[in-house]
Amino acid sequence: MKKLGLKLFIPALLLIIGIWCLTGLYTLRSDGGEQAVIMRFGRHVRTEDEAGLKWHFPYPIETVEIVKCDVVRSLELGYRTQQTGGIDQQPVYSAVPEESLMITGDENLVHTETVIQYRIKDVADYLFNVRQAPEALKIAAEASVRRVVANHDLDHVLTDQKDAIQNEILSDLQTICDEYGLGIEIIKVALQDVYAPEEVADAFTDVIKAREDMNRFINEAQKKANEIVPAAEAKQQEILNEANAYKEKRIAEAKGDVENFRQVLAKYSLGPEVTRTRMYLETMREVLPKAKIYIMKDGGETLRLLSLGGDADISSKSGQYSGATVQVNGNTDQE
Amino acid sequence: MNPFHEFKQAYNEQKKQKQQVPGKLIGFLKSLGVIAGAVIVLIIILSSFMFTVGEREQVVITQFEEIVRVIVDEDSYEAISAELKGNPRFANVKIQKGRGLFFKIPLIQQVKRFPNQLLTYDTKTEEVFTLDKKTIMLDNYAQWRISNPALFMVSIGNISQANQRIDEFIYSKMREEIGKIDAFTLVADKDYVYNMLQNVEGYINSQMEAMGIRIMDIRIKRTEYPDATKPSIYEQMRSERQAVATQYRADGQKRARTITAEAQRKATVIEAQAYEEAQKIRGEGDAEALRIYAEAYNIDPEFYSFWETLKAYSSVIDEDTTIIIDSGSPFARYLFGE
Repeated sequence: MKKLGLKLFIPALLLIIGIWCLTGLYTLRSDGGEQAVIMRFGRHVRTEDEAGLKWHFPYPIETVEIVKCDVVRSLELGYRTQQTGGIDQQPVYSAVPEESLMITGDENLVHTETVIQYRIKDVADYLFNVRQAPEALKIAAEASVRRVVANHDLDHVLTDQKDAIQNEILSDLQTICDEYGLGIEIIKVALQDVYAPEEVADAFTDVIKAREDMNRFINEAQKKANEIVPAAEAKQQEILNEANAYKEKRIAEAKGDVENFRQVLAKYSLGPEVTRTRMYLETMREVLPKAKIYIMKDGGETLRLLSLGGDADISSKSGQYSGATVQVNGNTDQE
Repeated sequence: MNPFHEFKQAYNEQKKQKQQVPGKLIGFLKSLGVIAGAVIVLIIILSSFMFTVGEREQVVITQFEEIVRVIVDEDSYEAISAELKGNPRFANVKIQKGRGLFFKIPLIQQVKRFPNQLLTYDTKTEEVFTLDKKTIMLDNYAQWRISNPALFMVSIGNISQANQRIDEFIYSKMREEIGKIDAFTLVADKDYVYNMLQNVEGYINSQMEAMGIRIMDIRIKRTEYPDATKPSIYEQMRSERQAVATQYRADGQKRARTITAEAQRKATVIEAQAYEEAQKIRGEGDAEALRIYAEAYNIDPEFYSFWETLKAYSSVIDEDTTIIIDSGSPFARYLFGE
């Protein structure tokens, strides 16, 4: 009977050893890039970073701690995501004003909401070096954000230096993480929302309006300028056209006049005296009917007045002309 | 339960049942029980004279409450050795380095574990006063570690006591340093504040070294104005914003006027140039006309002047013209038929 006890004892022992060994099995998932740190009697002996089924010497010889290393974690400062957005729902955020309100370099106050994305780059450092690593990171991040914002003026924080500020926070925070041996890599620092405290929000809105006003003034002026210059150019064209027309007219007229003159001259040279007299009289006949005419006698004492009927003597004293004006009739034949 | 006793009972029962089949299974289970019991006993025995030191720990071994041994990590081994050897109180303490499995004398030696990690101490927000008499709410934090577990155990004891001591040092030293500078420097001068914190750190370390504490980093987490001063800050921000808004509008108007004036200037220049050009063209026309006239009239200048005179009469004389002619003039003679 003693023999039977021994016979049963050995398989029992083997079974227990077997089960004990099985407790050393663990899996590493690709999902999130899990890594395992294996400690033998508390001493870190190796790190596993390939996914799959693994085995370590069972407790109490070895223990394992598994951490998702490749997953990007984010740390929210100044706000919290209450509900993530999706195709059928809006994201919901809540503000944490006591975290977001901070002083700027020019002693103003601003709300800054920041998200910090990080990853674990050294799992052993992350687990061992700092107690409560995520909390330590959060405190360091908050200090860095405030420190950097305090180093910039309000306007820069609100508008044009966001990139520079983000980069400065990132490099400061990475330096701190490395100093602490946190084993964390900061991937991205993003200022999500930067806004003035609501107590002064209207004044800030007015600045935005003022900037729009400024642009509007400029645009209106530009519009006006765009009308003035083309109008002047149109006028320029008009003036030049007029001038050219004048020029052509003058030349054409001159040519016409000259042609006329030439023809008359040609006739004239056939019989100068006769033509001359004839021309003179023709002109007079055309011209004189319009005018009032006085004719003075030599010595200026009497005036012979040309009238329709014939001649008339008009007495006059000491150079004073007087008498009736007689319309020269166009029909008067003076030849 | 006593496994041996059960085993014996089972053995007796098996004997009674003349080796029936279920007896085998019961025997097997009893073996399991025996082995489990043996393992538990073994672990209890082993753990009384063996212990582990993890990556996050450093330990002090006491014997009847007297420190006899410390086990620390490899990096701080040298420094801690030097510290303890120089102190007659710890002359008999044995220093070991490394992690893993260690042995002790059961029952009379106790293991006290201390963290070998960076520890965060976040102070509560306190009021400080700057040189320019401003009140600022200051929130610091410090990263520290137990640099020497033996000294720490003797002079501090535990973490919460340590935080208390650190707070006392930081608070008094920070107040002193901040009293030397203006609020603006504290808030905005990154380099100055960095150096200031380094000084504070150096000072506190010189004070706390003997307590086995080392401050690795001190930082200002927050500087805030007290709530009472916020209305005046908002007022200042408001007026500053108004100034900016006014500036924008004035700027806009100035630039608008500049643009308009520039356009007007261009327009004026364009028109003036057009006038210049037009006059030139007209001049050319006039000159060309004159040339044409001159060319023709030079053929017979005398006739030309006669011709022109007649043309002038035509254009000059109208209803309002009164002509006075000497009776001896050729025209009068024509008129009178002489």
